[in-house]
Amino acid sequence: MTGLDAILHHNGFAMAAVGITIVFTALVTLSLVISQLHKLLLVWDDRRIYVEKVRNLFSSARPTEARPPQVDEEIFEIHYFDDINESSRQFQILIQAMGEPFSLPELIQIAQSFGIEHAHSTVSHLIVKNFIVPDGNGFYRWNQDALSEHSKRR
Amino acid sequence: MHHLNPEELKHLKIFSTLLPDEWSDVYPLLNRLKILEGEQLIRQGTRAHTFFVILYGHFMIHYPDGRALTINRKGDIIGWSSVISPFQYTADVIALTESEVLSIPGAKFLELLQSNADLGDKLVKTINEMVHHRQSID
Amino acid sequence: MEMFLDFFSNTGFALADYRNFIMLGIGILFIYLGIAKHYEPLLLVPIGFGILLGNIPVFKGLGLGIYESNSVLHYLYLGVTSGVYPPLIFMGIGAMTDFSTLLARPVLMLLGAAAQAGIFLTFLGALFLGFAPNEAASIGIIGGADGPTAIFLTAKLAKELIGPIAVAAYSYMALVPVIQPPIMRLLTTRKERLIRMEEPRQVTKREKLIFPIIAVLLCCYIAPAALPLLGLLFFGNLLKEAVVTERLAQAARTSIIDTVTILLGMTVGASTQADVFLTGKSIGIFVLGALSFCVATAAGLLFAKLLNLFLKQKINPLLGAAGVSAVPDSARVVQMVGQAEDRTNFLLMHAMAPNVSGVIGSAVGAGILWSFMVG
Repeated sequence: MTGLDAILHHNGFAMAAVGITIVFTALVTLSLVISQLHKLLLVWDDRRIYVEKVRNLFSSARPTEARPPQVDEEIFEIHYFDDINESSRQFQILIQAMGEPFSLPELIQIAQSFGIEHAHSTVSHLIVKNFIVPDGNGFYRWNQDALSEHSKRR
Repeated sequence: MHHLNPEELKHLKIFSTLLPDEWSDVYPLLNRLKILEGEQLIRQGTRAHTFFVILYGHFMIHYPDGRALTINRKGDIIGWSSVISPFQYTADVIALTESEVLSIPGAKFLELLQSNADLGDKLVKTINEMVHHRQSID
Repeated sequence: MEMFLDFFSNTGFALADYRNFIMLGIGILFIYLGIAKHYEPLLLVPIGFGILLGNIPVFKGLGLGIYESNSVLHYLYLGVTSGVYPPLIFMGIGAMTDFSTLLARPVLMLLGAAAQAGIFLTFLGALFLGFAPNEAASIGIIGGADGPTAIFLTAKLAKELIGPIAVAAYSYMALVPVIQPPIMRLLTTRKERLIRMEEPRQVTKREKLIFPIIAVLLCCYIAPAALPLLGLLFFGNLLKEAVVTERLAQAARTSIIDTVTILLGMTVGASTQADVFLTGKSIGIFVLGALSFCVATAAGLLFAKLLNLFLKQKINPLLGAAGVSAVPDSARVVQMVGQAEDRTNFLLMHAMAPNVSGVIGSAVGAGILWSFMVG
């Protein structure tokens, strides 16, 4: 059997229509989800602020006084694109493998070999945020306390 | 020529002690350079041809034995070996972030320092102070 | 003398017919194209040599030919017929694919979806020509421009057509730089080809880590039959994005994928024996295969133009052609055609987004066709 009869006999049009619809549905849904993913991650990062706001809404106690804005003591306002929490997790693993104290150029080289993008600026960010600190002899150490300080500040 | 605002630059530490006529000798030598993240500014062991002053960005100075230090203050200097014998860079310098620096051709800078005693004294003294301070916190 | 004649009657010279020589010529041509012209050498050289092996006439019963159940080639071919090799290749592809451009601009995923219309329209075309539904589905998947997907589906639905379908799929993938540009120029205006894409946003590592998990769950819940292909694609990608499993990702994208490619290419080539390959059906497969690539390219381009009616920030419609999932060749073709109009317009990274989404789309399409045929 050939021609349109063959297509109709085997429900070809229905299968093609349903098939393309399912492919579209899958990819449209996936694109919608990932378009919101970075926003959801930002909400997750700031979850304590939102939880606090919700608590304040229901709390009868006096709202806590607003803290004065923290003055940034960095010398420059360098714009970093990495997420400091992710970067700190990744680099902590690398540093644990390297041992301390470690050589900073070697850390960058190893990070690059693992495919970490923008290894240089990420290391800069970690230094500026005191996750990586000098040991006074030209080598560096991981600052465990920086993580809790960073969390408190948020 | 190089779109540099002299008023902004006069306040950099290295130039802060200069008199107006001394500044007008230095200013024509300055150029602004943009540096990309990961770019190597200086290679250890090569002829020290340029003197740099940081305007913006974070740099890593590292040595063959793995030691390193980072600098990110506006006005910090890189490549002071271009005005001090044996005129060879003693470390590698790499930009950790996108940066901007002032660049001064080493040969012309050295010529200026040698031709003007007062200017030379002031600048070399400031350079020495800055390098000594950096080595003490290293 | 009798012994000599007996011996001679068992050699390939006595058993060959003219069709074997035609296939040997095709095998040598593939090897030449791969080595001398650098057309997809990693595929054409194993397939070409496999064609040579498969078309050396052998005495049946000695366990030599690929279709004899106790032969070495047959055991190696089991990975193709059982559908094991293609998912392993997908794992390697996942371990070398960067989905950041897709994550930065998810709307480009729809161009990959649109290009998969080529699969279903070719399916209709194959039914029209009189192919059985399972054969038509296997032929249609050529339009997905994805070799492993085509072999996977054909192994499930129409094993006897693996040879011609694989050869058609890989040949047309190598010819993407020839097939696509005329269609791209025909269906777009100069003004459209000059559209510049805005810089994509930076994608965080966390997004790249979460994406394969979300993608596999979502796609496989919607189309469970895509599980073998998409499951391993996204597993490979997760290995890549998780720094701690770099060793495994390295193995997946080097030794594993290379080993499987060798075995798959060679055994698929060996399966294209003259009596299977040189038939009227093969001609139909080749014609439909070429048509499917053209239709897929056109569908992607036209959908991009349709999207531009609704988008404030216009998409360069050339990116629609990259929905044909010949990664990264169709993305390079988009770059080439775009730069022919404006040398400073860099479209390659943007084109990778529909390109990789086409891989996902073709795997979903294959899963859907498989479920239709066995359901």
